[in-house]
Amino acid sequence: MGNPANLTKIPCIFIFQDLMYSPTRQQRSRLFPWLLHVLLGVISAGNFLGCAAQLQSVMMGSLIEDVARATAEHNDPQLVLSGLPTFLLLLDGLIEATPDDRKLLIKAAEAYTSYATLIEHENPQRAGGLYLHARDYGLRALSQRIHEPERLQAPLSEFSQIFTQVRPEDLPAVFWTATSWAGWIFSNTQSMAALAELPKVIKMMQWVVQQDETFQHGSPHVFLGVYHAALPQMLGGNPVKAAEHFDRALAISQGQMLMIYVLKAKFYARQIFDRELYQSLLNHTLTSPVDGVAELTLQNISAQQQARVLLSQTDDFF
Amino acid sequence: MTFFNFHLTLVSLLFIAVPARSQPDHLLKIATLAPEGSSWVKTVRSIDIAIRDATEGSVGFKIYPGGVQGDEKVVLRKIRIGQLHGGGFAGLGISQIFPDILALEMPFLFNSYAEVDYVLDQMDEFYQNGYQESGYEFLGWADIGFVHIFSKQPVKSVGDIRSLKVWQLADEPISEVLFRLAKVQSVPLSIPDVLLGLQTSLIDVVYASPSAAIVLQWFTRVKHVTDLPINYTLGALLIQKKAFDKIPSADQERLRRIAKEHMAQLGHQIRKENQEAMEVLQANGLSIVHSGPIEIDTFRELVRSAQTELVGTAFSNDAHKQIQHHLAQFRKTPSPP
Repeated sequence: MGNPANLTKIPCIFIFQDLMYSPTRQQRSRLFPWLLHVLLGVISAGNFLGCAAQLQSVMMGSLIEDVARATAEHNDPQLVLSGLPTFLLLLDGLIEATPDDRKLLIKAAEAYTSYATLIEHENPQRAGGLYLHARDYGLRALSQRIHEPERLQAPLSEFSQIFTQVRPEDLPAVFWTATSWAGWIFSNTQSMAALAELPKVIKMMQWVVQQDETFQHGSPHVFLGVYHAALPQMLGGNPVKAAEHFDRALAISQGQMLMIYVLKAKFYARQIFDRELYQSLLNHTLTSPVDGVAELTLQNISAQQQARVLLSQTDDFF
Repeated sequence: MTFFNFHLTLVSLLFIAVPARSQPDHLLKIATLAPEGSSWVKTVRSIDIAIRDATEGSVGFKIYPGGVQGDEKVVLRKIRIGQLHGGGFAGLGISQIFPDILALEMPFLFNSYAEVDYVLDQMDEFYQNGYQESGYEFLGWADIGFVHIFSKQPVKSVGDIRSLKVWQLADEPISEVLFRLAKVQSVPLSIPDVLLGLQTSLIDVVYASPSAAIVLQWFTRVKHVTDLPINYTLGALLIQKKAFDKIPSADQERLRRIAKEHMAQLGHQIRKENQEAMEVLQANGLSIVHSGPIEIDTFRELVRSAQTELVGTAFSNDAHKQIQHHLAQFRKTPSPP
């Protein structure tokens, strides 16, 4: 069975929904009942057998893993986009039945984050709500691991003490909580309350890097790369650190995760105003195979779609 | 104390789609330090959309956000050689073009936004002309907000500051004089070094608008914020006159009107953000320090002595006098019931 964090292999920062075509109503209507039927069928089978909710969760866990892997390896982002909501509802239902199932909570955090990323461009406000939903699942998972769970809501200095309590196995929970939290912050940049939470998210991601920098093909490095590159130096941005993080992620993923090139172009190359680098990173994305690593297929297809759009906009930025 | 504060999207994950557009006859290249996704950049983009719409695509902006064209000094140089045509200025750049903006930023000048709005309105022509004579078309103020003191130990009076190490924004004339007269131990640092300076206790006291303290993360390294607003700060959207004059006069008028409207909205947004920021700071564990009348007087006394040195050197006596006159007028008028 795959890594529990491999639900879709599409961390929020890597998918850019505007590149997807919206599924037509017809497609949605075909896919949705089918999935619902299959998924609900599994649940009712569980009920029929008189299994405890816990058993249901175990069975579903297996299905979730399978769907997650299939999704990540899929080459049709449009289909994935239309199928995910069913999956999310299923996860919500399972969590209602087993509210303390930590693995399930983490998976739900991941799935909601991934979906929010997919729809963010079309509907940022809705995405913000989904990120919040994801973050709350993540925090619920984490609160089981911390003596005083209220610390998760406390100001930074007290919050930072959680890192003396979480363990290496909590890495997926910390990663997905941080990622969804960041997603929520960035969909609420007009909110001072949201921006004030960013230092916590950065701390979490720094902890992840220390624990296992190779998680999700080096995704924690990509996150920090974007963070350091997105700000002008004058306001605390650090292009040198940004480049280090991006390059480390590229080394870890052995160049197979094309979204790293795209984000390096979009954030780093633009920030240092290097048109040549920008174009060469995007061209490299377009000429690289998408299925070098099966589970990155979906993400790499998205990366290429985005690279195409970004290339066409070169003159708008430089 | 000129200070800036951009409302940042620290990591704008939103994909900002730039629709394919035809090149306008008059493309104004505008640079700003404010990052993509910030209120500033959003406002300049909305002006761009509106002016293209109003002029059937004849006038438009090309926006360089996030300081990609360099800091404000570099942007000014690029404007002089014609590489750029304007900027959303909020730092020291704006006072280098026309220093009299500093007259608006004197500590304890304004007691409220109502006073600010009245004076800015009365002084509109003065600043329009001032910027024009300096080679720029003034397209609107951008509110940054009232600056407060943030510190590791509570600061109520000038005396409290003397025993602490105070950050000083390098090359900023007003704070230079103030700190010298107050015999404050000041440490000049650039903005990006301040957070580390607080972390390593190189400095104990900084000053910023509440939302800047959040955006720059300084609030994570201090314990107190003094509720006494020190001074009001602002920025502006400026276009090089040479480029502006090439635009047909009807379109110039349109641009002036659209920009003024959008910049005013930005001002309201930023005021709201600052107000919220103060509450968020408390929620994040900062204590609000109240200065009593006697303690406030220590600051006022200091500013009075600094004033004689600053008026006529850092900014013109004329600007100072006019502002004082309008303030007196405003304060004489009974406030509406």
